[in-house]
Amino acid sequence: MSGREAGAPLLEAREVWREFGGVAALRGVSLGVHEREIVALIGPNGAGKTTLLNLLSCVLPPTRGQVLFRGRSLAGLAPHRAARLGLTRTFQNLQLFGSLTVAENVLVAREARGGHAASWSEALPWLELVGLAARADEYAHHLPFGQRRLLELARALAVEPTMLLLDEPAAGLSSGERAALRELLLAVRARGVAVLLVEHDLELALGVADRVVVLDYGEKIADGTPEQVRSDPRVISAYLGAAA
Amino acid sequence: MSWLGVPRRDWVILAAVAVVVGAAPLAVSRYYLSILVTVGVYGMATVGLCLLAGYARQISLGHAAFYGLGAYASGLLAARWDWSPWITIPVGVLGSGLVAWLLGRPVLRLSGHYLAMATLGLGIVFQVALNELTELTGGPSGFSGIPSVPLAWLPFNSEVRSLYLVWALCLALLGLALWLVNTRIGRVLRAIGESELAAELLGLDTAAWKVRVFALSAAYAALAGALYAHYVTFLSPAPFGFMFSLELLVMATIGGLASVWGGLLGAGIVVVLTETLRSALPKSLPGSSGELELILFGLALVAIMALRPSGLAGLGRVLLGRWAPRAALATPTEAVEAESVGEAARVGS
Repeated sequence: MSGREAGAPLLEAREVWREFGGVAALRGVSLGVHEREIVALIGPNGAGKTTLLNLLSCVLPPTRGQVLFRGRSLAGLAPHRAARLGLTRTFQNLQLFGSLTVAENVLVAREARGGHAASWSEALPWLELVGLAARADEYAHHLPFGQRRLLELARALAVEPTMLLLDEPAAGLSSGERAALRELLLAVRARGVAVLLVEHDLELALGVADRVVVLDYGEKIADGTPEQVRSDPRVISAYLGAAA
Repeated sequence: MSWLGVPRRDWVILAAVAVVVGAAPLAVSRYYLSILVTVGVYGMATVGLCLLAGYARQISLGHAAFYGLGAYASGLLAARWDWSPWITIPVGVLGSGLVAWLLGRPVLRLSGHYLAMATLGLGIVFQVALNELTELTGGPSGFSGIPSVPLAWLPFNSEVRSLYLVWALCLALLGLALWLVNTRIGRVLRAIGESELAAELLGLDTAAWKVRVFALSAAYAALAGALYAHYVTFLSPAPFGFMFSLELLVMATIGGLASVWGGLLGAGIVVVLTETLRSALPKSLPGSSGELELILFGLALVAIMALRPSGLAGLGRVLLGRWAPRAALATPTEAVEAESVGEAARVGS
C-alpha cells in the first residue's frame, strides 16, 4: 500500500476557490488523488464537499485556482470532455435515466465511451459487477433505492474511468448494502480505478479509504491516513467531536 | 421480429396507415381528402417535434417559424423565381434546418428553458419579418401564384396527388423517426431528456446532440410547411404565428410526446376535432367562434396532463395490456392508434 503517493497525482486541485455571490464555498483547497488510491472527502454539512466535486468534474469552474487531471489543466473543458479523458462521477441525488431500462442505462455509458452502438450483452458484465444482471430489463425507476445507487455506480464504471468521483454513494443504503458497497469499492480499486469519495458514513469512509481529506467551512483542515485523521484535534473539534 | 431495429408491429401499422390513406380517395369526398392532407402536413411537423420535445425534452415555442420558413422559402423561390418545387422544397428544408442549427448552437449550450425563450423570440421576429418585408413577402396580405408540386404524370386529380405526396413523405419521415429512436441515437436523446447532467458526465456531448435534434425537428416542420405552401398555393403570415407553435405542442402532447406515433395521432385528433367543432358549434351554440375551440383544446390539454401525461399513444399500450419494457418508449404504439389514425383517415363526421 505504501509508495502510492509517489509521483504526480492523477487528479489534483491546486488552491481552488469557489465563490457564490460573494460567499466563498471553497477557500484555497488543494488535494491530490493518486492512481489506484481511494480518498475519502469528509466534513460537516456545508463544508464544501459537493462543490469541490463539482469543480473536479468540470460541472462548475473554480473562481480561482486550478484543477489538473493527468497533469493537464481542465480549465474551460466541458464535463463530457473530462469524462472522455477518464474522469467521471455519480451524484448525491441520483441522476438515473429512469425511463430507460437498467441495461440501457449502462449501454448509454458504453456507447458514449465507444461512440458507436453497443449490443445489449455488453451491459451485462457491468451489471454483474454490482449484482443487477437479473434486473437488466426492468425500468431503472422501478428499482428500489439501494439498487438505483448501484446502477449509477455500474453506469459510471461502464465508461471505464481511471478516476471516479462518488458523491455520498452510501446515502440511503441499508447496513448490508453498505457492506456490499465497501467490497465493491475495493474491487473497483483493484481494477485500477482511483476513487474520490464524499461520504457522511464515517465508518465506511474511514474503513475503505487509503487517505482522508477533511473539509470545514470551505477549507482543508486535515489530510492523512484514517488513523491520523481520527486523532487530529482539529478534526475532532470540527466534526468527529460533534458526531461523537 | 424487427427490421432495421424497428419492431415489426410498427412497420405493420405504418403499412396499414399507408393502405388506408391510399384507399381513401375511393371512399370519401374531396372535402375529407383535404382534411386528410392537413393531418399529413401537421403530422409531419408534430413527429419532428416529438423527437425534440418528447425524447430530448427540449421545448420549442417557435416551431411555427420553421414551418413558415419552409413554406415561405419554397413558395417564394417557386413563385417569384420560377424554380421547380423539386428544388425549392429541399432548399427550404435544408435552409430551415441550418437556421435552427445556427440558433441552437449558442442557445443549447445552456441547459434549462433557454431554447423555449429563444424559439419564442424567433417566432415573433419571423412574424414581424413576414408582415414588414412587403416587397418580398407581400406583407400581411401575402402572395399567391405558388405552383403545385409537378406530379401531372400521376393519373389522379390534384387533390389525390397532393394527398399521396404529403402522406408518402409523412410516412417516410415517420419511418425515419421510428428508425432513429430505435438506434443508439434514440437512447442518447432519451438519456439527455432524463438527465442532461448524467449524460454529459458519461461523456456525451449533450449540447451537440441537442442542436442536431433541434435542427432535425426544424427540418421536419419546414418540409411540412413547404408542402403546405405548394398545396394551398397562397401564403400569408397568419397561419405561422405563436398560436400555431402552441397548437403543434398541443397535438404532440395529446398524441403522446414520448412516441413518434403520438405526433401523427395527435395531429389526426386535433385536426378532426377542429373540423368537427367548426361545423357543429355554430349550429348548437349560435354566435360561438374560434375562441371556444381554443378553450376546448386548453381543457383537453389539462385533462391529458392530469390523467395521462404520456398521451393517448401511451393509452393504447395500457389498454392492450402489453408491457414490453425494452421497446416501450421507443415504440409504445398499438393497434388502437392504428385504428385512430385510420379513423382520422376515414373521418365520417
